Amino acid sequence: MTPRKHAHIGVFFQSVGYGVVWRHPDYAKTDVFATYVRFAQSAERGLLDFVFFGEGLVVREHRDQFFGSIANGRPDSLALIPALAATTAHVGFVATVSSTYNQPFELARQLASIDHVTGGRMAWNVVTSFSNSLAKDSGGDQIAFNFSKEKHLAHATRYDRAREFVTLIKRLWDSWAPAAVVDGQIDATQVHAVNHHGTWFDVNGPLDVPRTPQGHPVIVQAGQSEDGRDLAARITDVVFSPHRDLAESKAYRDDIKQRMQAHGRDTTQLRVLPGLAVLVVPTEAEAQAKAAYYRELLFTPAFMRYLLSEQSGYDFATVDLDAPFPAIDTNNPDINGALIGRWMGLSHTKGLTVAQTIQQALPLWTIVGTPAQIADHIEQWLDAEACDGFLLTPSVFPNDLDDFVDLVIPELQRRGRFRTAYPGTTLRDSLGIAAPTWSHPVVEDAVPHGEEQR
Amino acid sequence: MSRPTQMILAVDITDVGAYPLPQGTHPALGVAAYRAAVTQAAQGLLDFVLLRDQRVLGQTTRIAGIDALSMLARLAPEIAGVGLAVAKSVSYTEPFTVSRELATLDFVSGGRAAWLVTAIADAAAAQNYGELQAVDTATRTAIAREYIAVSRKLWDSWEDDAVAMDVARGWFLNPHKLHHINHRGDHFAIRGPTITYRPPQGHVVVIVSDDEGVDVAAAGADADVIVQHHTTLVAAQTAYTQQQQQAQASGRDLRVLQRVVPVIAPTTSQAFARVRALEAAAHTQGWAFPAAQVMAGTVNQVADQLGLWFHAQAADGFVFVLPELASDSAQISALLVPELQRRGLFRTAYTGTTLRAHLGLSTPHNQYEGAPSEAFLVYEPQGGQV
Repeated sequence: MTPRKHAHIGVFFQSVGYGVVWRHPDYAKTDVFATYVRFAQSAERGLLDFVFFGEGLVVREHRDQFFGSIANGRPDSLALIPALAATTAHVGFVATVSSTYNQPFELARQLASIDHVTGGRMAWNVVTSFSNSLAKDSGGDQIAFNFSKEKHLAHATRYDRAREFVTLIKRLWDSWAPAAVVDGQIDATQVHAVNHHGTWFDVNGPLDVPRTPQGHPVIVQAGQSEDGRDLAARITDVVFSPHRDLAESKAYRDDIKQRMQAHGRDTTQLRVLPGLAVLVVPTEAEAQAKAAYYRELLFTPAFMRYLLSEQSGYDFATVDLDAPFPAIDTNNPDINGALIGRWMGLSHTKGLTVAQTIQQALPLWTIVGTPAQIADHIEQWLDAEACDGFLLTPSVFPNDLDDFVDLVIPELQRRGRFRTAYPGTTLRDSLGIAAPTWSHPVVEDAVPHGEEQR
Repeated sequence: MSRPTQMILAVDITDVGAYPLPQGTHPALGVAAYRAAVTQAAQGLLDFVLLRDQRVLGQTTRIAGIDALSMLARLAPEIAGVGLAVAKSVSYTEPFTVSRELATLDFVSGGRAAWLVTAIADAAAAQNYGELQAVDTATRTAIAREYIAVSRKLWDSWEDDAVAMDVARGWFLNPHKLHHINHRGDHFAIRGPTITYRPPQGHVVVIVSDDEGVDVAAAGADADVIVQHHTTLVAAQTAYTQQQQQAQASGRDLRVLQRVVPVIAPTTSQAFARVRALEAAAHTQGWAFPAAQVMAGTVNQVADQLGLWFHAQAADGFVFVLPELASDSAQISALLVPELQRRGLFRTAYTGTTLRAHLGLSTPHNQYEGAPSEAFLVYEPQGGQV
């Protein structure tokens, strides 16, 4: 009998945006370093693969104004993660960093350095900084305004830049051959220039940081669009996906693997991790009450007006939330008519108020259940080859992560679905993904850096 | 704020020391080596350690670089007390990003971060950023000055109490306490606000040095700390007086530090013999001497010289550049610091927890404090009440 497939599990630090139930009395303040330490240590107590930090390059505004109700602000991941490494020994770290607003040489040396100082626990979630809002006040250009630019790059252009960016960064990580450092001593003849001259970047190299403990830090991506899937298949070790439907997730995973094969990559070296918005309850009887309490904390009238307006582009400031959906002209080019139309349809068919409609339209959790029910769900997805594990998005930190760690992890371990100890020291060890084999960073005319100088 | 009565002491922990290693040795340093250096400095109650970035592997580079901020962020939670100064380049980087990384170093260290402002001055480094040549000193200095000004604006763009978490009012953020900076200068156009909290120190301590590609005479006007080298006491006094007068005129606190290579031995002749040996080794290997004042002698004689420069108002303190980091930093903590303490010239305990407290620098006033609130959205009736 083949051994049961184990789950790989990471956890997202929810701090910015509307997933956060910051009104909960136990919510740990996000402007305190100790909260991040506790987060990383909770994940490590649960033997999770990694903790994951997002990035947003603007203070999210709403209709061109500050809006106090949404959680905002976070430390910089690249400066935070080394500090968290000092307080943990095994858990991995995923930092989200834009390929649109950074330079490859600078980021290559930062990520390589962090892989060194964390002892091989670093991963980079490649994003191109898109705006996920369809509304008029999408953050795209506002991001550009923080980087001395007039306009955000177009989608296809961003992905073109990202492809070159990541390819180049990997070459820079290869500029130190494995034999460049032996017994703590550098052999300069094993350090190579990259001499990259591309559409976006001209970089001579070599990198000034030795080859890292993982060879390359782990690469993560969350590509859903055609460009995104292509990029994922070319470069990633781990893919985050948003699917809540098993069949969709399986189709997505199969698609990425097929594309990987076309690029000549080994499909066993990929981990697809859909988001798992999970609310753990000790007994089924508590499920409804807990979910209702969280909904009450989250869906304040102000917050519902924000969600409705932010997502649709229509101003819900004065709309009666306890009345049926008002008739809105869905042909108005300034709003997302399709979305408004769906909401209106939902409201009219089911006889829902505006407040009920937005709550129905935004399911908060993939699953609310007991540890056994959640373990069932995880097993079902693993056995269906719909994923390789999950990315947890707990609602309230620390409570909901602690519940997962203390209740669900032991259940998964009993079922032989999760590790009982970390298998090694690096993130690649935890993920079961091999270190990349070294190849010379300059394919043609390879000249060792040391020789060029003579 | 008046001049401190005790000197400031810092140590440059870059590399393994300022003078050549035995030929053929090129150590690649890891966390353990830096941990030892920072621990040694903290035991000596030094104000801060200084870690530079080495961006190009040249013929004279003996060690591999680890990004300075990554390394000191890694050590911050382990080692209390000592300040952590890291190089961050203003060349080919974004103020929005770098200011945030520095703010976060301050966040994870409980207010001990300093920024050594650096600019890329050589072609080989510039060629890693799509440029053939580095820009000239005047341009680098202009960029650095605007970069510092923008960073201070971004650090101020969240007031200290911006995170309200006020459940009754429905505010996570107090929207009165956030500010667009709307900066438009020659080199940067940045709307802001930043996306992280104001640093615990208000502003990260800004260090401008005369060996990091910018003109100190100009950029020093934007600094909290100047690090420089003058070959004579008189030249140092002249520069010091001018810099402090300029700072006073603009109502700023400034600390001026001289770079010093202390060479301490049991006897004077042993100390000078070591200086000659170091210089000979440097000469043989074509090694550039550090731009720093060599102070050689017994521990008493070195303390005399430091005291002389301090009392003569040639400097508020010193950045030690050590011949051999590992062994010489042990000497600083074990011999030199106790001697300076006996003379009342150096602290006997940290009296504060932040680097600004060590340096006697006050927390900067927030330039947006009291500024009119910007437009913000109110969806709840009680939301607009202050």
